[in-house]
Amino acid sequence: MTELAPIRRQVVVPGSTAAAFEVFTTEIGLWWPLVELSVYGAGATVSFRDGRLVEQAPNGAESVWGTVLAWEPDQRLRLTWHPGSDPAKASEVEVRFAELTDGQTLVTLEHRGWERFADPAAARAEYDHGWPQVLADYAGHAGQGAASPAADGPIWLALMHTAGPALPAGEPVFGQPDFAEHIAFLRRLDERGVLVAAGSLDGYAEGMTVIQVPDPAEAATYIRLAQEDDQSVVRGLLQVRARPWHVALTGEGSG
Amino acid sequence: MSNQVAVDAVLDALGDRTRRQIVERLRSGPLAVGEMAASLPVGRPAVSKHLRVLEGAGLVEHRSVGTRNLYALAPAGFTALQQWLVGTWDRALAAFADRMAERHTETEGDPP
Repeated sequence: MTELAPIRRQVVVPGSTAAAFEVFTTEIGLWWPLVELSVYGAGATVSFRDGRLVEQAPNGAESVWGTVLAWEPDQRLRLTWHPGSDPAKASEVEVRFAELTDGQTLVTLEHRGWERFADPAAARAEYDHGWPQVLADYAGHAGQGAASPAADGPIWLALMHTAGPALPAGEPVFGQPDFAEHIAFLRRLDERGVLVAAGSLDGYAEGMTVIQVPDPAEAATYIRLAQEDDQSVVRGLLQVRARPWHVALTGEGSG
Repeated sequence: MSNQVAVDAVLDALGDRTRRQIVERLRSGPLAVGEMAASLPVGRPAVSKHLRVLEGAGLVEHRSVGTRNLYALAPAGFTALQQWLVGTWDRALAAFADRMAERHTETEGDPP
C-alpha cells in the first residue's frame, strides 16, 4: 500500500459544462454550505482569489483552503486542499466536468492523498459544527436536480469499478465477504431492466458494468445508486466511477 | 452514531505529526517498533505509545511473527475516514447540484 485510492464522487447537474464550471468556481460563494463546512462558520464567505480558495470571516480573518494547480475552464479544476490545517499536510482535489447529454453535465470530484488530511482538531476548536457532524446532517439530503427533458436516445453508462481502501492489499475482491453486496447490486440493476453486461477486467478487483437508461434523470439516479446503493462501494471494498459511453453503433449481437 | 466515534478517533490519531510519520513509514510494509524508532526523532517507548493510539483508532494492527512483533496498516480506520470524507463531499456536491438546478429554473424559457 503506497497510496490509498482517491475518494471519487459524481453528480449529474442540469446545465452546460461551461455553466457548471462557472458556478463551481466563480460562484462558489453562492452555494458552498458554509454553515456546516467552513472554518469560521455562519457569516463567512468563500471565493477563489489570486489563485487560491480563501474563506473570509466577518471580522476579516482569512483561512486559505487550497491553491489552484490547474484552471481549465469548462473542463477541469485542480487544487491543493487543506481547509483548517497546515498547507504542508495538503491533499489534492480535482473536479472534472464532462457533457453527459446536451444540457446535462457529469461532475466528477476526486480527492487524492486524503489519508494525509489531518488536524481538523484545530479547526474544530474554532466553531461548533465541525466537519465531522456533516455525515449525520447529510442523510436524506441527496435530492437530485430538476426534472430533465428526455434525450434523443437511450443513455449508456459504464460503471468502472476498482479496488477500494477496505480491500486488503494483494487479495482478489471475489473472496471478500462484502463482494456478495456487489453481486446483489448488479442483480437489482438487472431486476430494474437497465443492466446490459457486467464482469471482471483483470481477475483481481477491476471490473466494468454497462447499463442503459432512457433519460438523463435516470442516468443521474443510477450514478447516485452506484455510489450509495452498492454496499461494497459504501463499505470501501470497491470504488466506482461512472463514465458516459457515447455509443455510436450497435450490432446484431447487442440483442 | 458509531461511525462518528470511529472518525473522531481516526482524526484525533492523525492529528499528531509523529503518528502521521508512523503511518507513512508503514505504507511500505509491516515494521517492528525498533525499526520505526530508528528513523523517527522519538524514542521506542514513545513510538509504542503512539502505536497504541493508532491501534485504538483502527489505523494499525499488530501480529507476532516468531519472536518479532510487527505493526501494519489496518483498513478499518482508513475506511471510517474515507466514509466521513465521502459524506462531506456529498454534502458540498448536493449544494452545488441544488444551485445548478435553481439556475436552470431561473434561465428556463430564455432564448438559447
